Amino acid sequence: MADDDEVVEEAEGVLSEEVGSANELSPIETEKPLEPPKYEIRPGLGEKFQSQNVREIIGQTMKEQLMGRQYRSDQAPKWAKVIANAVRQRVQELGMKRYKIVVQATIIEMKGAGVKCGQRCIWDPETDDYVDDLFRSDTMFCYTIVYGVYMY
Amino acid sequence: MEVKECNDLNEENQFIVDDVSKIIKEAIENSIGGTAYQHNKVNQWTSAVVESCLSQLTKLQKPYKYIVTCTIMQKNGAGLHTASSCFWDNNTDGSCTVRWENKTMYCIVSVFGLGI
Repeated sequence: MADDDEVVEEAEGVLSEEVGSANELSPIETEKPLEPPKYEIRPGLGEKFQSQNVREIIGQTMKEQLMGRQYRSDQAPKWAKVIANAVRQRVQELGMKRYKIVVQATIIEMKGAGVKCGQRCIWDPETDDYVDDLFRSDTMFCYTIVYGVYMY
Repeated sequence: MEVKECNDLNEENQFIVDDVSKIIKEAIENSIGGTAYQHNKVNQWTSAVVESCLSQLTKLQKPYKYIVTCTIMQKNGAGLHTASSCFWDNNTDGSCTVRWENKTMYCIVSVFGLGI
């Protein structure tokens, strides 16, 4: 009887050792260590608002939509919406991370009226920026401005 | 994730269009209320409207970045159309546009508020 007990105990001891080693292995396999938190509050070197690229996008989009067209009061609202949406989508495709984009497109008929536009912003000049462009034709002109605002 | 949702529902983190609209209307009335279009003064007027809007908005003391644009146009029969398209967070960000006119000119002011 005593011998049997001893044997049983040894077997259990061996089993527990194996289980113990298996336990040591599994935490490493299943849990991936979390990446350390990043405390970046500014865009990285290549991640700032790309003014030149955005300006090209605006210029191209306005030309595509308005070149060769005459001002029409029933069509102009639609053109303005199309330009704003197209510019916004193309700027998003540039893939600037953590930037909020605001696009405003204005179409004005050329009839000799005097127009003055002004804008002012409260933001962080190190991270936020804007780009604007003007398209002129015989009967109208279109002014589009794109703002990029960084989200901390 | 849960903490962020609570923050968005907080009143401080929402763009309230009515308040902003009131601020804009006051700013326009005070700057160009009873005047007629004058080409040499338009510069001053746009600056005055924009600056007064912005100073009132900052007095709200909210964690927001603001963009204020103002367009003043002479009444000439010409047409003007504006469209805007924005990529932002609908819970915290918003915009407000006010159209004002008198006998000689139109004034259009847009305010975009983007949460920090």
